[in-house]
Amino acid sequence: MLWAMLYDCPVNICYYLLDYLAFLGTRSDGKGEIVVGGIITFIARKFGVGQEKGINRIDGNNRLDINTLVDMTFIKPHPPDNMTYELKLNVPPCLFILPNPPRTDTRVEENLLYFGVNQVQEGHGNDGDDEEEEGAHLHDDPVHHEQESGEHDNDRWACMQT
Amino acid sequence: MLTIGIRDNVVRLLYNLGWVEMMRPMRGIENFTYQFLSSISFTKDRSRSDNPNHRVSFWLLNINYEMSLEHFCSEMGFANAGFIHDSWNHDLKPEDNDPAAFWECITGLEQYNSRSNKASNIHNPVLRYLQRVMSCTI
Repeated sequence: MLWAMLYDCPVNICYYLLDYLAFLGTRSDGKGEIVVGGIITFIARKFGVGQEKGINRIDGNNRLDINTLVDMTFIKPHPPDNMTYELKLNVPPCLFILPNPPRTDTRVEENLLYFGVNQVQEGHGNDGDDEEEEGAHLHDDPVHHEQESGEHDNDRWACMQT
Repeated sequence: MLTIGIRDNVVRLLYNLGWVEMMRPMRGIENFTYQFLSSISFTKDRSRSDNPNHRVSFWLLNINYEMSLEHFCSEMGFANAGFIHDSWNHDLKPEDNDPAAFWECITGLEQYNSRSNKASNIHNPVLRYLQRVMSCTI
């Protein structure tokens, strides 16, 4: 499917959608949480069944939040305070240029590092279990990061390499 | 997506498959979801490769819908056309589609291992995000 997206190749979307929903409808393993309510709402609307006719909305997450991404091993909390996060990459070398290079090219150090000054200073020596991963730390205050970025580049880069 | 600058690329690739509208966040409705999932039946026609008659049926608000895949595509606003990976009609398969080469291109790995953590082997954050979106949708 990714290939089809990149090469603009048409695929029969409804076939895959129905195949997956039918699989979920008969699934009996009880593993994990099923989150397809939004898609079914989309189908219902297409058949003229309005949302106002629904009785109860399903509470819960309909987006990929931090906890979801941690569960998916997309990111992992960064010690010692676990309030910053590392983007997990299994393969260290950058083999091709990322889209939107000014913001995502991993050869640009600034794009890999998004954690604050305090975390940098506290973070030295705490990355010993990350030999196979390059870490991109999701900073919760990007404005502050931009203001302080220039004078701490070397510290942050060194931290990431350890 | 906005923070790391991948939103435009994600939307562009979703647009290539016509998925932009479908992938918008929508609230799940309890009775829609339970009734749909407990009643959906998708029957694939394996007897004909040239013009298979795939059938789908489901209930929504106590109404039974039963139709062909072609009719369902029409109702959803998608064309009943394009590649189906397990189709017996090999004419649908693009000639230049080489899954192994593509996997190596986006991961650097020579072999695809379905037991490994697939998403974290993909380098490009746009493709990694889309892989997760699709694995939770279809």
